[in-house]
Amino acid sequence: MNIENGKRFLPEGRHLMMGNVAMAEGALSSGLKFFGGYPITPSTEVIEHLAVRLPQVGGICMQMEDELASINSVIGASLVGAKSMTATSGPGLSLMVETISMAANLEVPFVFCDVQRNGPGTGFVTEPHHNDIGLVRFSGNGEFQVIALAPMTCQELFDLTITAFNYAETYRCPVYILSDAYLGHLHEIVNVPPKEEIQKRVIDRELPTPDQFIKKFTYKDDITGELVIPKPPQMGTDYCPGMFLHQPHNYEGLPTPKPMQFMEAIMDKINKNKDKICITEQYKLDDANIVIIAYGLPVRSSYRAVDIARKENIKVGIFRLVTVWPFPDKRVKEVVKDARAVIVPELNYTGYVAEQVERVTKLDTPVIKIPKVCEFHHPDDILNIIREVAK
Amino acid sequence: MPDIGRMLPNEKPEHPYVIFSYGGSMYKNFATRFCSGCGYGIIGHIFTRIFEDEKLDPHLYPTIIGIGCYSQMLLLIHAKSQKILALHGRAPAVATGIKMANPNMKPIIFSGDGDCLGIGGNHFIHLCRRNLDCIIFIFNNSIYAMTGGQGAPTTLYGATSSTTPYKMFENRSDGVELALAAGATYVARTTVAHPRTYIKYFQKALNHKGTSVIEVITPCVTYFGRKNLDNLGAEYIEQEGEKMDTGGKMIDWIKKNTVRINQAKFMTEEELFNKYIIGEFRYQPDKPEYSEEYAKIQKIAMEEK
Amino acid sequence: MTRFETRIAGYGGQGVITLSKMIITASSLYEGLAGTQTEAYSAAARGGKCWAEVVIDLDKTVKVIDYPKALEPYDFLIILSEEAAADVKPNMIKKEPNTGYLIWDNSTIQKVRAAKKVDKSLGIPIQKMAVEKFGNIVYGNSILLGVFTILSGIFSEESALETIKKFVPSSTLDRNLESFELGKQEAIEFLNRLKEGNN
Repeated sequence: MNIENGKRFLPEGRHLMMGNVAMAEGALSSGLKFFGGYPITPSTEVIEHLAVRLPQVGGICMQMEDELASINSVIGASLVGAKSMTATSGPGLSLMVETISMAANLEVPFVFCDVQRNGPGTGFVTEPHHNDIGLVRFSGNGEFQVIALAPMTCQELFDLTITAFNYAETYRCPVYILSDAYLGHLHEIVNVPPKEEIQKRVIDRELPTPDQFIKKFTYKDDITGELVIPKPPQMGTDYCPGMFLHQPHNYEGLPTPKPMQFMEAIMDKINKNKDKICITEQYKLDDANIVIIAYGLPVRSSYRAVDIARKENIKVGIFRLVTVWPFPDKRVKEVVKDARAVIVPELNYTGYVAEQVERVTKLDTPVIKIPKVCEFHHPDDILNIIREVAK
Repeated sequence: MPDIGRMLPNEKPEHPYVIFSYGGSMYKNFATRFCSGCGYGIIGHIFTRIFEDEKLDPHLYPTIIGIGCYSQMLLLIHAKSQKILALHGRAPAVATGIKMANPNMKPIIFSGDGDCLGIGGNHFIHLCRRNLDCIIFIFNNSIYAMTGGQGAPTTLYGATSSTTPYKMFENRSDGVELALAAGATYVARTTVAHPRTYIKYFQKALNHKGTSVIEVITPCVTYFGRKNLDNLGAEYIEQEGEKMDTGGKMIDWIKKNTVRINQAKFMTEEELFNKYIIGEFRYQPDKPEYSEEYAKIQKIAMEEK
Repeated sequence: MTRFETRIAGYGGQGVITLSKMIITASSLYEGLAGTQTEAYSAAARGGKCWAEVVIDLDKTVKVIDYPKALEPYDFLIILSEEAAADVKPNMIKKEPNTGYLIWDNSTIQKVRAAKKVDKSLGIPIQKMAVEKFGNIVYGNSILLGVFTILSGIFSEESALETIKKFVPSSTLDRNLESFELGKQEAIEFLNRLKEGNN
């Protein structure tokens, strides 16, 4: 059974769509074949849309009995070679972390859409709140690295979902898309590129060449000393290890007496590829002495605040993290080098990224957090702080 | 490779199927890590034997293994079988993903009583409800053995375990009844003391399209047998305070404690208390299977517009 | 600033969200302007307080709206319920020529206190008109779209008509177009009144 390409791509051009739908369409464009999910506000539109669209292209959309089953079915489908993903919100993510750790250890590629909302239980289900940033980074027991992308427009939800699938195929680690309740329900225009262009971008699931057949998991090349990430193994083909063990294993999938090597492979495949993985954007940073570091929706508020502040001759710029995890240490260090102060507007109280910035700056530069809970920053919130700092 | 099995003295006769097992194919004369008297050796070898004799295509029959003592069966079952060790209780969900993404496959799920009826109860119910084409084994040793003998949902009334030190007083969970209620289409129970019926049921399940649930009663001498017998209300105790401290005694007990389904029809509830009913409970080959039904949905969706 | 901020407030089931979607469709999809639309979600949308916001950037070179929520003061405020009317303050509306409209449904709302202090405020008996002339309150959406098209002037009439065709079932298209015309008439009369008042 293969994905039928006829209906997989949206017609080229402008489409008005909701954020959650844009994400679902992005996934379809990247060749999504299996979706396992459980309804949870505010991510429900993803499963609703895919329930319509996936069968049309020959894919499978399953509403499982709970979040634990959703993520496990996603792993199962990915093991047999289907590009798969799930979408949920914070409470669902906290249920899924156990399996995410297992998937990370087995190097199973999958994409995870986290449409963040406030709090546990019923919480404020319709309010955006970036309170999963820390959980995403350290999701699960066992050490591993994740990739997390934070889009801020519907267009990016579409584009970055394709990027996320490519990252999952390339690095074989959990890849998160950090959406939120506001972004998920926002309606905007999405420019869908022609399907040839998308196909060129997408990395398909393929079996490796015969000479790579023995090595199925990340290993260190003996000669060059570099980490090699092979193509993901598939059950139901010859390219499958004798067993999938989620305990420390070697490149054949067999238990290893050297867990340190395993750990190195799991962690360093991301750490050493940070330059390729990290996507960052700069806005009016060249002469800035005040730097705003932000991700997701607060970036949009910051753009406006910066535009107004620039008219008042305040030299302020934005450094945007599109990839939140892994944290681009080097680039942040470069950016904050000459800064008088760093402002980090975050849609949470803790300031997960602010902590990282503090780590990078070694507390030499003042890091000013602007915490916001349940609603994202009004441009004035940021502008007032900028003015205060510029005094 | 760290030690994953002991070598037996050479004079012992070789098991004819050992060479096909994963451990055996690596270490030739190979023994398991199971305690003496454990039933998982029998189960593992039956699996290997059927896999070999039926010439099952390893590409189409993946094995999904839950967490329990039987996870060690990785080394016992057929070397060519593609195995995945799932998380505790989540094997049915992984199997669902595998089956749906590749409908040609027929996953074989290994799970235990704690795995399937305890932590993974929900997944088990919904697997049966969907009637997904797969085989699920519930290895019931009525104890959490891997963690050291704690009470399980299936522990018999009156039994002692490390978390029920005085006696087990909770009601027992019955995997077969649960599977029947949830809608599995082939449901059977057997024991390791009846290996030929086990083989028969396994073969029937392989040819059945739909969820096949086979519960296998298996002995755990170390954590269940050595603590129990006299307190289970058994009538055949030879001496005061007798326990099942050998494999033989446990197999004996299993044989005595089971009732065939045809006999059970004429017995009262009290007579059946703490007994295992064995036999085939349901065989319903004509009920729609989930992945086939989904294929129909795909067809409808594809033809639209 | 080239942003055009619109807010619609009422209670669930009146078509608050549909109207906002019609506006974003006409201006963003058909007219090609960058825009965002946000709405009240979940229980609020099915009864109780409901609102929707549309932000359009009139500058065609702008590709993305920066701050996606509508900023006060608004260019266009539509009030459809008593509850929402109580929250309106005069400084919520822009005081510039050619923009800053307050539209309210005077068949469901007794009085909007702030209306007196707003230069360009208009009460239209939308619900009454919709029910009496067309037999269902859903036609209120088309009436309001007609009003919005004329007063805001951010998208052409053709775009608005396309939108109506996209949104309404073909069986009620004629009546919807009629109600759209009605809305337009109301708005034109209102504009004429404003001109006379100013002269």
